[in-house]
Amino acid sequence: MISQTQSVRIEALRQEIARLERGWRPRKAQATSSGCRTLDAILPEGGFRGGTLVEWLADGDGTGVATLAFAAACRACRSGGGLIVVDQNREFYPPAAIGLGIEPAQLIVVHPQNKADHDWALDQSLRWAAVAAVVAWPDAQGGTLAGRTFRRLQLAAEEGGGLGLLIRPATARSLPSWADVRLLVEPLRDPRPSSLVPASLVPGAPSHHGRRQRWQGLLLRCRGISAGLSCILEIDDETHPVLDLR
Amino acid sequence: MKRILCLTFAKPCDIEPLAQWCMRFSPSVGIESAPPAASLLLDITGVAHLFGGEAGLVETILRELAAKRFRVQAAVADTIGAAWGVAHFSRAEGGAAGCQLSVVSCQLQRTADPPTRSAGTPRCPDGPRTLHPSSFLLVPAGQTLPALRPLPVEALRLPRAVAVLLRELGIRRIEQLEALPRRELPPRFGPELLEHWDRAVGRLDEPLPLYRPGLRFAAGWSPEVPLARREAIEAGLAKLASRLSEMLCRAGRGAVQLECRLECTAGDPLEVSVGLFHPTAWAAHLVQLLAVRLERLRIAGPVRHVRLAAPATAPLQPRPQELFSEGLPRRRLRDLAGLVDRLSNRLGQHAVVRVRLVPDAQPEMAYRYVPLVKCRRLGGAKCVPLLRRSSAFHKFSTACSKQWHTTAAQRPLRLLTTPLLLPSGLPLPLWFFGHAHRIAKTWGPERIETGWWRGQAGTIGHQREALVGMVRRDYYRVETSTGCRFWIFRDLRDGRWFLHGVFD
Repeated sequence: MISQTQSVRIEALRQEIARLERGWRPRKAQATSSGCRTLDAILPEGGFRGGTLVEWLADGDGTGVATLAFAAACRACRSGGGLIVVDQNREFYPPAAIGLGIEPAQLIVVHPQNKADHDWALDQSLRWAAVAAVVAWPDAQGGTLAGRTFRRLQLAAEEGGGLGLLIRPATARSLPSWADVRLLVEPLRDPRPSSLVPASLVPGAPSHHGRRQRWQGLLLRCRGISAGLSCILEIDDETHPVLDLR
Repeated sequence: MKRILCLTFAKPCDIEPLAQWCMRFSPSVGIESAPPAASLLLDITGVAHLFGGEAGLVETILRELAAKRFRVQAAVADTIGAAWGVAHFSRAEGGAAGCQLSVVSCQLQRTADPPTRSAGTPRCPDGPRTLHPSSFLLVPAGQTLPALRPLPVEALRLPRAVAVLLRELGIRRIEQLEALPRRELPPRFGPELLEHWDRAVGRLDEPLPLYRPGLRFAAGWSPEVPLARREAIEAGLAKLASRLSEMLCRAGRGAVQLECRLECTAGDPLEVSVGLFHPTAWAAHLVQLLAVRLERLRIAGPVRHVRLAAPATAPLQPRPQELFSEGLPRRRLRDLAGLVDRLSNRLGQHAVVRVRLVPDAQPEMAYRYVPLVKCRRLGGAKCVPLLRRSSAFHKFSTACSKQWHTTAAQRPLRLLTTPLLLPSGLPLPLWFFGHAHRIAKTWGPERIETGWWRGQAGTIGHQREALVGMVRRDYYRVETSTGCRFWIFRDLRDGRWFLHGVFD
C-alpha cells in the first residue's frame, strides 16, 4: 500500500527522470504533429520535436513507411522552411509526395553519388536553420548508418532545429540509435473485401471502397517515456491523403 | 566641335588599367579594339585648356606614360576615325609623310627625366630597357581631310577583306579613294567603306566606345614565395574574397558566379568555377564554397598567383528585418540559398533540384527535375529567385497538386527507374526483390495511354528503354498477403506484367 506522500514523491521522481532523459533541447523548437492522432497521443509532447531525429523502421518493401514519414514532414513544413529529400537511389517519386500535401516550392531533392556525399548532404541539410524537415534513406545501396555518423547527424539536427526523418529497414533495430523516437511500422491488411468492380478511374470520383491503409506502430524507443507502447496508424486515401486532419 | 585624342601603344599591354588611369585627364575615355592593338580614345573637348592647351595636355600624358615606360603614339583630331588613323599610320607610312603637311604639327618628346616610381599605377611590361621616344601629332580643327589624304586606306579601320581588295586594285592612299565616284563605292566594296570614310571626315557622327570601370570584379594576389601549404592558400583566398566582397558591396551587387584561378609553378593553372543560388557578397560564404572545391583538387605545385573573380553578378536583394519578432524565428525559403549553394557546389548542379510537375499522363513523365543553381553564361546574367512563391510555375504546381490530392494515394512514393518485368503472370505469386508475394487484393485498373504522336520508340523491359514513346498500360494497385502494396501494370501491347512502383 503506497501512501499519498509516497505516490506524490514517485510522481515527482518520474518527472525528474523524464526531465533528465529529455536532456538538452533546442529551447525554441516546438513539437509538431506526427500527422497521426493515435501516435500523437502516445508521444510525450504530442508530436515530434524539432531538432531531433526520428527513425522509421519497416521490414521489406511496400510497407508504406515512407508515406508516414512524409506525412510527418508535411506537418513540420507548415511553419515554412524547406523539405530536403536526400535520395541516393533516385527512386523517389515527387508527385506522390506533393500529393501528400508537400508544397512543390518547399521541396528540394538532392541526389548524392556515393555514401560519403550522402552523409555529408544529410548533415549539412540538418544543420541548416531554414530547413524544416529532412527525409532520407540512410541505408540505401547496401550501406549502413555508422554510429559515429548517426551521432553527428543528431548533433546537426539539434543545431539546425529541423526534424530528421530516417527511413530504415527493420534489421537496423539491433543497431545503436541516436534518434529521439524509434518506431517500428508493420502494415496491416485491409479487412474489407477486395473490390470486385474496378475502382473509379476518374480521379476524385466518390467510391464506396475507401482505400484505407493501416499500420501497427510499435514505439521501440522514445525519450521521456518507457518504450513498448503500440498504436494503430491509419490513412484514408479517399477522404484525404493526409492522415487525420485536425 | 569635338576634339579626340587617340593613344596607341607600341607594345600590346593591359589596356583597362590604362583607361582607368586616363580618366584623370578626361571623363570620357573609350577603348578602340580595332587591330593591330587596342588603343585609347579620350574626348578632350573642353578640357585641354586646363593643361595649357592641347599640346600641353598631350605632353603631360606622354611624359607621365613615358615615366611608366610606355612608348606611345598620340594624335588629336576632330573625329575618332581621323585621330585613330593619324596616330597609327602617319609614322608608319614613311616618317616624312606627316611632317610634310603644313597642317600637322609634329613634335618629338624625349624623356630625359628619370622614371618616378609610384605605387598602384600601370607599368609597362618590358621593364627597364632603353626608352623609346613618344611622339604626337595635332590635326588642327577643320583640317581633317588634308591630314587624312596621304594616309593608307587601312587608316580608315576597314575590315581586312575590304582593305586587301583596295590594295589589289591599286588604291593605296585615301586621296586615291577620294577621287573615286562616291556612288560606286558601296556596291563594289560593301557599305562599311563609305561608312568608315564618312565617320573619319566627320560627315557621320561616331559615339565614343566608353570604358565603364568598376563592372569587373576581380582580385589577384601573388605571394612573395610560392605557396605550398593548403592553409596558406586558403588564407590568401580569404584575403582576396574580402577584397572582392568589398568591391561588390560598394557596387551594391552580389556574385552569381565565382571563379578562382590558381597558377602553379608547375603544370597548368587550376580553375574552379562556382555557381551561386542567390547573389551574395558575403566573403565568408564565398570562401566556404571555394574551400569545399579546393579540398578535392590536386594542386600540381606551389602556387605563385591566385586570382578570384566574379564574372557574373546581380543586384543584391535587400532583406527586410522584422522589427517585432515573436516566438519562433520564421523559416524563410530564401534562407535556403546558402545550403543550396553548398550542396550544388560539392554534389554538382544537377544533383540539387527542385520539382516541376508536368501535365503528363505517363507516371515517369509527370514531373521534371530543374537544377536550382543554373549554369549562367558570363556577363549579362540575370538572377531569378528560384523559390518564388508567386511564379507561374508555382501556380501551375499548386493547381496540379490540388488535383494530385485526389489521386495521390494511387501513386507510389518509390517509382522504379525501369519497370521490372514480372516472369509469372497473374494470379500466380509474384516474384520480385527475392521474395514471392501472394496478391490478396487489387484496385484497378487505371488505364494510362499516351498519344500516338509519341511514336513507338522502345518497348519496356529491353535494355535501352526509351521513355518517350507511346505507352498503353493498365495499372493496378495490389496488396499482398502481408499488407504490402505495390503498383504493377500490364502492357496492353504484349500482355506482359511489370512492377513499376512500391508504396513505401
